[in-house]
Amino acid sequence: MANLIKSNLYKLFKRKSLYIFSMIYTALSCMSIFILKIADEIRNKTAGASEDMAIKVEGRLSNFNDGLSLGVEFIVNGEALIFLAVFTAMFIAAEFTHGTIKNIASKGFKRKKIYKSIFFSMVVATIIMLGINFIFTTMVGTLVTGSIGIGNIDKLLLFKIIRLVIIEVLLHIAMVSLFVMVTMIFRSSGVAITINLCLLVFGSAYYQFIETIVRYILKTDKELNLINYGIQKNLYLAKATVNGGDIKQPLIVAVVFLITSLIFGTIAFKRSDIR
Amino acid sequence: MIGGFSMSYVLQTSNLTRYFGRKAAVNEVSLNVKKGDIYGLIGRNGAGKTTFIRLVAGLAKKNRGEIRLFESGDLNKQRRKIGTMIETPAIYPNLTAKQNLHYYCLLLGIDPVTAIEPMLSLVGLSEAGKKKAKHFSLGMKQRLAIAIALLGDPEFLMLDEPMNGLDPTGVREMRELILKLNKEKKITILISSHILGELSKIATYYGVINNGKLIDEFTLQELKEKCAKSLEISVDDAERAVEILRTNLGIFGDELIVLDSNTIRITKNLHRAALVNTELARNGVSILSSQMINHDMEDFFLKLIMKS
Repeated sequence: MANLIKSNLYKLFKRKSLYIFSMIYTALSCMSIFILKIADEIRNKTAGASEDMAIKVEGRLSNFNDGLSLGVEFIVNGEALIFLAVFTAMFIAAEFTHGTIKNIASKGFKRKKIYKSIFFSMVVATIIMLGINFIFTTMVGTLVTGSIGIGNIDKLLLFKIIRLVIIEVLLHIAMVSLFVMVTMIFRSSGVAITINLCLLVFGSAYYQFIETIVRYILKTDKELNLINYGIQKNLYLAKATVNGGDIKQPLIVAVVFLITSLIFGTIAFKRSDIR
Repeated sequence: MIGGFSMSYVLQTSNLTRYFGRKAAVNEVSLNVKKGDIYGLIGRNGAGKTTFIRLVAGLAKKNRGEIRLFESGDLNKQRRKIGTMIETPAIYPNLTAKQNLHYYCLLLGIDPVTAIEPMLSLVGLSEAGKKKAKHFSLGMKQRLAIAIALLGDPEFLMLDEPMNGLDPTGVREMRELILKLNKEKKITILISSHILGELSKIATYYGVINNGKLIDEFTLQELKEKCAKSLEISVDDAERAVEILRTNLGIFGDELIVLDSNTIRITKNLHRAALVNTELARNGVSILSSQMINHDMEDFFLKLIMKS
């Protein structure tokens, strides 16, 4: 297993697209901070001039007084998942396209271990992407707001922020686990990218669809709000944990998605032939 | 020697079967590959060669039958001692030859510093330098794939159509490499191809597969005999001709075959062709034609396939 992980990490770090995707994601996030700054300035200039305008440019930046909270915000918003959806599909499907997975499987490594090592390398990719983004958005945020924000934080708040970041990273990893499962099943980058992006874009529609079916089967009008148990929803819900919100739900959602997709993915990979 | 018994078989399959839908891609194949052999698995495209190799390599699941590697049923463990190259060369196109090998060294727990250079030298890729594998010629890609298969000093190498798409020089280089691996490194090799002529220059043992079934097995010596030159004589009376040749020239057994009532075939001592014709003519047998026949390996292969 250690050899599988080592070799996968070697391959991951040699992959240019990991750095390109991280750079694009970070550049876009930093650009967003400047856009928020400009929007904030416009809001301040037009304050009182027109009520409508004031509502339209209700600046997000005004909610963030320092670099640290901006850095955290760009983890919470889940935009990294778009890049991770594409990167995961490209990285894993390449093994099947180039046939290199045959070399690994024919060496007697258990399929379960191969799957786990691939998933682990995607966990590392997720942490790298989020880490680079966090560092740069915090730096740019500090430049824009003039404060890094560490001075204002007491120990308890710092603990809550670290806890939030861990939960958010875990939720990202749970989503990546779904992407890994999809790619290991479909084995084509085109198909996997499409499905992964659909999972992100139409995520809420799937929950509504499942809820309709469940309500039909149970013959009930009671709202189940399944959408509240989706990963993307919990990326936002987790934010409330800093202000005393429920920590259990986002954690459970992350763990359930993670374990379920790992189990299904491994079974599917074990049962199918490698071409 | 393990437990006092020498390991004489590297691969044994018994009634190995794999279905795709209703069609058996591999149908009850029982095959043995002896240690030290170069086993040529020959069959048309789609005959089941690749599926058979994929079953042995653990890339496809069998429906029935048994596989034993190095006389053991613990396949995952034994597969560590196998190198494979199945279909197209499986390499990382964006990595150099060295980086490709480095990756597999990490995977197999081999020291890259000591393993990579000798391996590149063995397959003739020492000069590949920083060129990425995607810019390699097909021959170079094939050699890199073989280098990958050879990492970890496998005792058994399975090569699926390794000469496909290579130019004549590439075919020759590949052939020399395979023979070198077998002779110098004592690696047992299973090599598949759809061209018997090509395999005949390498393999020591042959298995013919058609529609998923193993239809014949023979040694190199048997193949040579089956495809050897012969003298085919058309006469007015084959029975009388046989009698004369037996009595007067002492041609017996396998040496003399009656093909039909007018044709006989002589398979050995062909330097006596003129004497055979003279003797028949002297004894009143009319010779309609007499010619040396060269039995083409491809014809032999096609006849086998047609017969099955």
